[in-house]
Amino acid sequence: MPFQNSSLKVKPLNDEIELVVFGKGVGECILVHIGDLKYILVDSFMNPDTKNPVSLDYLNAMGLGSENIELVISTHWHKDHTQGLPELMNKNGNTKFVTYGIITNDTFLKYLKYGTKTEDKASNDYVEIINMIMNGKINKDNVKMAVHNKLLHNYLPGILSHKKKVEVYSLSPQDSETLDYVLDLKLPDYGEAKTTIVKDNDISIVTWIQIDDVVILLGGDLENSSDPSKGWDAIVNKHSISSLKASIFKIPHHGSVNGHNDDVWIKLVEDNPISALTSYSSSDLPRDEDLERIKSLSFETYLCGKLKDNDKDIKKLQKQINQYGFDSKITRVSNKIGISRFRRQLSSPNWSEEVFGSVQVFK
Amino acid sequence: MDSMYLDSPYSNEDIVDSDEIKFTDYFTKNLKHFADSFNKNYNDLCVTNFDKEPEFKKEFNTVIDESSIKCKRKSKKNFYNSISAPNKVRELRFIDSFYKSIREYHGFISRIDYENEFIFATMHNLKNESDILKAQIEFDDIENYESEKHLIQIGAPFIWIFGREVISGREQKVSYIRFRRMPTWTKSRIQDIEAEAEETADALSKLFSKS
Repeated sequence: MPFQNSSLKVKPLNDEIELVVFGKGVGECILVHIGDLKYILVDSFMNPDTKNPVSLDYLNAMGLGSENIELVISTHWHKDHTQGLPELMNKNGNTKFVTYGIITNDTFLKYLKYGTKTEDKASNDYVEIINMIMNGKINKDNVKMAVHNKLLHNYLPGILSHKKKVEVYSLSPQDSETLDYVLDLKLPDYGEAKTTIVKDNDISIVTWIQIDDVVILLGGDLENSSDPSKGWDAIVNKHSISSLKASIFKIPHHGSVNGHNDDVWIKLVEDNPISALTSYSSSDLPRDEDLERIKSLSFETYLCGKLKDNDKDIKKLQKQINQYGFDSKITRVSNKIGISRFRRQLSSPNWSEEVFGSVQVFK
Repeated sequence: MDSMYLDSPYSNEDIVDSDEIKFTDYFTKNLKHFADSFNKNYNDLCVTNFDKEPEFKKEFNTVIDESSIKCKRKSKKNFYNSISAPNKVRELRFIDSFYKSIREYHGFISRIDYENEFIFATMHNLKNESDILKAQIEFDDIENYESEKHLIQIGAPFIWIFGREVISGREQKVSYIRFRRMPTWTKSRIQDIEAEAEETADALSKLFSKS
């Protein structure tokens, strides 16, 4: 249980920036401490042991709570990113919530509602949040619609005790991406069978967090597009927020080659940054070649949530499966939570790293 | 085992209320005796538990045949007074005893390799949250592949069951992978969903246009 670790329970200092990446094989969650125990949450998943959002267990372990989260960014509505968001918003409706402008679009809402009828958990989470906005549980003035290069949240210099400015920007989606996304949505027709609706990462929100001269780039699940006005190409081409580069990069889309863009590593992140990513065991991400690529570009790489468990019972189970006439091969998916934590005082040039639970570190 | 019958003496003193019936020691002893003899007779058929040695649980559920209780349970007193004859126990169901050796995974397809005829899937054991498997399943392992073929697509849900079970006293091997056939969208269902979505869109648009 990583949350029982005594060093995990130590709170950050008021002038200490913190990035915490949680992964579980299927699940990604990120917390960023911007100062004075104020946190930004990006995506969420549930801790299977406590049935709480993993971010809440982390904050509780330090003696903090959901009230310390002042901004929640939902990068997209895949279930490995949405679970626990309604619970968190329910606890603190005054938290700012970042989503898309298309939540008022009737085609998009139909798409979500169809998703709820096909037992799609992520659609259910999103519809629950939309209902909370409609019934006032989430204050509509606290709902922010992300688009490229939009300032979502900020503190002017001198407001927080570290006296530095804090700015949080969304770098995506591009306007054209959301429009095309809605136009491309395929709604079922009558007579068709209900199937699980597969969604895209096309409009995943990428977040740029700048605290003084320290930049954290959170890649969401955004992938490349063949159209240069979309995906990572569009972000690189339209980037005009700052000439600074990120010293920590949350690698997009679980390290997949589709999320990799050379220009991002040249123009948006420092040479050899610290890279953090989460695994996605359903699709075997990251693959070995993805890890090699990321390692070659990074000073250190932290992979939260292992893909496989070295479980003795699995051999026994494999034997039984074969005895029952199946030739299929199985591996046990790790369900253990991995936490990578990076802290840095604003006066310090370097990050310090700690890992808890299921994390692979490549130096 | 579908149902079993047992005649038993019955005393009303331990009946506590209409929802929960507690049996007298005598009655319970009878049932246990019955269970033991059942155990003895069927011991050879009790299948190997995957994790433990063969075992037979002596827990049982009983359901009273309502028709033989000649009263409506309006009050406890009436109920006590009305029982005049031994009641038949319609079912004696041994909890999970025969199904413990069944493993059941619910999965969905994450990748399809048509060239090598594999699907890749993640499967969850609904009884044990930490038991999640990743499987590389050969097309040949899919029961009735030809008729299931059209269901095989990314995200498609399926069930994988294997193990042994006892049905009507006979032990059987069970092993299959079956894809879930989702019900089709009906016109009225679509209309309902779309009307609901349009209503939500309208309400949200009004909400945000106020600011």
